[in-house]
Amino acid sequence: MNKGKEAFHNNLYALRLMWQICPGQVWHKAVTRFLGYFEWLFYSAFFMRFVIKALETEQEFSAIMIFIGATVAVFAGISFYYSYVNGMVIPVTSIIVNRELSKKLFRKARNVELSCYEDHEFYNKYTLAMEKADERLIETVDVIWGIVFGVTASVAAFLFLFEVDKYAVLFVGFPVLGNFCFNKVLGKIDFERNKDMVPYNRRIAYVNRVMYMTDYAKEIRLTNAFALMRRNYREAVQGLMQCAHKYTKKGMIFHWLRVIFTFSFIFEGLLIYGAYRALVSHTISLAELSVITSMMVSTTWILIGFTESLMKGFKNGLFVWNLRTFLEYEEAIPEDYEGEDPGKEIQSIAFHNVSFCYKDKQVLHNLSFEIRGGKTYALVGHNGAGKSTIIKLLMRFYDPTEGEIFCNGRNIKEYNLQKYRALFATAFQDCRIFSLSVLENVLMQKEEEGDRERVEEALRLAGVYDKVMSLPKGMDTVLTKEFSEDGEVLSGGQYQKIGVARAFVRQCPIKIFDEPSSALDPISEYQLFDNMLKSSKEKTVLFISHRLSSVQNADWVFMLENGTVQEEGTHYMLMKRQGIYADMYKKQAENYLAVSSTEIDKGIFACVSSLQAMERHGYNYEKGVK
Amino acid sequence: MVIIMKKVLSNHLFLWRLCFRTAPGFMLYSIYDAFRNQFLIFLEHTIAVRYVLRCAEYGEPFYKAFIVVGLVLLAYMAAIIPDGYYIHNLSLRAKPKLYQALKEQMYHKAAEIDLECYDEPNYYNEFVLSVSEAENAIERFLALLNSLIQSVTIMLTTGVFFLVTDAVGILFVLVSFVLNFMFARVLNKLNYEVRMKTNPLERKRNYVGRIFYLSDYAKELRLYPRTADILEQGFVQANGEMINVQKKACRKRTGLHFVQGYLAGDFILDGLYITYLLFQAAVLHTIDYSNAVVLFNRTNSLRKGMKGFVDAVPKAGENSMYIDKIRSFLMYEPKIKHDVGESLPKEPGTIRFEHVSFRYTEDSPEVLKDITLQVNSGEKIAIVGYNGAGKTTLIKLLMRLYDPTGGKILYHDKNITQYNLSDYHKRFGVVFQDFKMYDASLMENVVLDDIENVKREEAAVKQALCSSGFGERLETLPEGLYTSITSEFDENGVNLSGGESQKVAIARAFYKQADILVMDEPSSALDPIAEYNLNKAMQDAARNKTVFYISHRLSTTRDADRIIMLEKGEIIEEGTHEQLLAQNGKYAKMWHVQAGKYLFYGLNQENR
Repeated sequence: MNKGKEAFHNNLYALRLMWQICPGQVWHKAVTRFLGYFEWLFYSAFFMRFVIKALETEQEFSAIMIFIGATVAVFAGISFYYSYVNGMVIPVTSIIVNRELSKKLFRKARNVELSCYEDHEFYNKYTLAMEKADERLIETVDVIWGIVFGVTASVAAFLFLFEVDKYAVLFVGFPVLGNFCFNKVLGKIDFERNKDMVPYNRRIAYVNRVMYMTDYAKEIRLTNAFALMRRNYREAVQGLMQCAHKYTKKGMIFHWLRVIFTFSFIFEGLLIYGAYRALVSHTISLAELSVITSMMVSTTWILIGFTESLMKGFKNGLFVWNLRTFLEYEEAIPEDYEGEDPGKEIQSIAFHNVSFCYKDKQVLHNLSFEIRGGKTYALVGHNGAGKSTIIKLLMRFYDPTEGEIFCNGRNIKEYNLQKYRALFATAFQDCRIFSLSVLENVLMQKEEEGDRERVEEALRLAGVYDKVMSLPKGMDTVLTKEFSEDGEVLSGGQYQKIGVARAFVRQCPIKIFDEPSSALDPISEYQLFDNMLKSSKEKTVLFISHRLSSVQNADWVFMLENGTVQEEGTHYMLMKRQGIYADMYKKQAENYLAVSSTEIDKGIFACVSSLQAMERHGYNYEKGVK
Repeated sequence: MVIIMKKVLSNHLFLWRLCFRTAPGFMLYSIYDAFRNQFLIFLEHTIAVRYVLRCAEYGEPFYKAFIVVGLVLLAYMAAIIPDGYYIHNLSLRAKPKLYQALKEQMYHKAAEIDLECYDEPNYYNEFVLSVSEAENAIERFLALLNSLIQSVTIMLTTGVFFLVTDAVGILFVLVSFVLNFMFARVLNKLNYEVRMKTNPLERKRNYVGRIFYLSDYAKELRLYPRTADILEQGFVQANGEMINVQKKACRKRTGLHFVQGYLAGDFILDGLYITYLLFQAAVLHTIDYSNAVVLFNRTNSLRKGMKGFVDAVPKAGENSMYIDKIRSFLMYEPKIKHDVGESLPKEPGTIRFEHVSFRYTEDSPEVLKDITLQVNSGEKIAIVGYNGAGKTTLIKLLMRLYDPTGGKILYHDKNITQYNLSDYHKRFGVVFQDFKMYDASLMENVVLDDIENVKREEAAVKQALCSSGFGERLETLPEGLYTSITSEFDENGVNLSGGESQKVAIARAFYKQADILVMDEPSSALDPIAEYNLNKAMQDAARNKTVFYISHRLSTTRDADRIIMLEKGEIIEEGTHEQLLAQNGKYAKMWHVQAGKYLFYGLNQENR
């Protein structure tokens, strides 16, 4: 039984893991389970028999009282132990388990490469493993002891019954059959039916989402989209009903068999058998008959408990397996990779015939380009041309499928990953804000001496300083309401500016801006690009934009199409070439170009000022390079 | 206390009525089922066992025992047959229907509550909670009903058996019950207090967990490993505080557990009661063995019955809280009503804003201040301005998603609040920045209604899609207009890209044959070429219509009949592109910032 073996090993793994994290949990769960079964057996088998025997043999009442007194005292002790476990041990240790397990998981989650999050299968497994991992690990350990002591108790119950009457034991076969065989079939029916129901339930969940999410609220009010959702919901409910019919007959038959075998046959069977032995063949005493009546109930329930634990054990095995695959996953790009120190400067970065496939779709195709230190580069192209992918490869979030990337003449795979990444200050289009203070959100590390001024400057450059200062606690205001009730919620554009400030504050040799202006209005955007260029003099800058007006100030432009560099050069060179860049530029500019005479005057004015701006940057517009 | 109990009762009655109306057969059977369950157990473990023991004790003939036990077995065998049908069919069909009955009411309400409810975080959270708890509330109600009926059955069967056999004995059970109930309340209160203290800490803990698990943050965590450290510290700290809270409550809780579990339970029943039984059986001989055995064995069952009652109280209280939320949500009276008001004149008319001002909540700043604006039918209006200037809000007021806090909006010289809202909405074709696609066919995604309910106008839908630039893509779709959007629920469905979706969204407005077109940054997800094509298409589609066009790319708005420049909620400039440039104000500045750089190229080329 391969499956059983696997489940066994997984459960063992869980036990070891828990032992590492919190041995107290392992101990107490074992003792609690043991005592539970002990109590059950003691009362139904031993206590009952002793008392009735004593009554039958007409022992002294005081002797019986001593026995009862002793029992009461022992169980007072056990009960106190339970209270201690439930009142003290469980509440505290479950927090410890959560803390320690989460720490392990966090560490792993930080260390796996980014593509793991996009690999559907991996990510599914991983979210399954994460969900309430602490509670489920605790349950797994509990169930393991449930199985261990369940077996022990079943055997003990068996022996007790055997001792009372060896044929009575045969009746135990019924619940075993009912519980193991018929219940298994029922489990399968449930599983199949649930599987059939999944698509309908997902549809219902989707409708639910649409109906409460703010994003849909406006359209639902303005249109009749609600009718669509209502139809989808009704169809899904109809589908669920169909699923119910499919297994009715089989379900009814096995339900009947299970109940009758598990309960009725052993209960009624033993009663008749016992009555026969007591009344017809006169081979058992009243005391023994009484014990049989109470033993039949406890034996059945012990067996049911054991079966349930066993099934849960199998189920938990799957959970542990998910957890284990994640914890034991071998990273393709380990975040803590120790390698060469890349130094503090960038002379060159080069892509050599880089291809990259993302989910079987080729995003980059034999791409080569080179950038040199100290200059400004722009990446342009249509949506989906692969601009952001280049940045992700450069940051080593992914490795290329083919080809190599070099930094200062060395393959970037050879560098210490964290030190390598520290060369870049990056502002992403979709930056995330954390529930920390503005200051920490910009610095992205603990505050040190002199950081305040630098953050102030970065916020100014990003154009959000005034807004931040208008907040109640200025730079120390906590953002979002997740962590603190009096956190501040800002607009999307303001968050983006804070994200951009991260790139400004970091003193890195290269700065990368990936469409940092998508949520900004024109003036903010203009200022942002202006600040970007001003603040990064002498620094290497790589930026992505689809607004070509902001691109022309770059030292060099790469025009991307279909995953490769189609054209490159200065803005001037590309315009002269009359290729795809020029075409795109003209389309964008068309409306601005159809100008009236008054505007041309203004235009010249504007033009002169931008010429001056470019001169300040050391342009030579004849050649288009510095 | 009484008021609370009344509330709890009325809330559960509400659910009962809903459930009974929807699935009367299921509800009746589930009551019977709970009763049947305990009744058969009573027959089997009390009546049959006692009968057999008595037969043995008093030497009755075997056949009597055989008949009684045989009858119980037959009763079981018969009762389990419908039971299987109930589990494997009836309840599987009834439950989705019950959920549906409640949730459709809620969805209906969700579609008509005022949009401002979504802006109110407290209200919105409650709303989401009550929607997501709707199924659970019913589930909990059914479980509660089941456990209560089981408890009642136990009391009526085993309880009566105790009373008849040995009335004094029931005192033990009663004392245990009352004490148990009292201590349980103290313990519940303690646990509740602890939970109140740990809840915010747990929220912090979960927040950090989310950061590490969600793919959204994965990039940032890799770029800024030290932020991950800060967050992890916060996590460990929250856990530490939770441990402290728990530790403080430890002693009291351990004590209460012991008092409730042992003193009020085991000690009285397994210690005192058994002594009492034995004393009667062995010394006084007032009770026979078989009764003593059965009485002792059945104390557990009685205990279970009582526990059902004890547990029902906090459970019902908790469930009532959720039902309360659901009910108050259903009772919400929207301020902006959908199906009242006059119908609108057929022909297009003039729109006037008169001194309109607006704030989202009472203590938030004004988003719009004293806006006065007249738009004649057929006019093309562009609304421009910086982020947060109030452009989108202006449109939301026009669409009556909100009502102004000051001033009024007139259409055909009548306050728009007087019109029937659904009719009024029909006059508008809108494309929002954050449009959505729905799990339905492409055609339905354009029409935005169930096509079973409306005329199928394939040609018109196709025309609209072509105008918005979706024509080419339409050719490639496997089932044309009937292709499902999103492959999530349909294998043959297609997933559209952001730009493609936007074209479909724009087609909605084109299809609608409305008098007024509203475009809120419709081209934001498009690249320059697509934007260019769209603008061309728009000019054709918008002929003879009133148009509101919001954009911060001024190249797309320069041809408007009138440009409205908003700043901080006020109209600061107004006029044609040329007039505004001549004014040399803020619009001109904004224009030059954007156009200046392009002009550089244009002039450069002309000069050469």
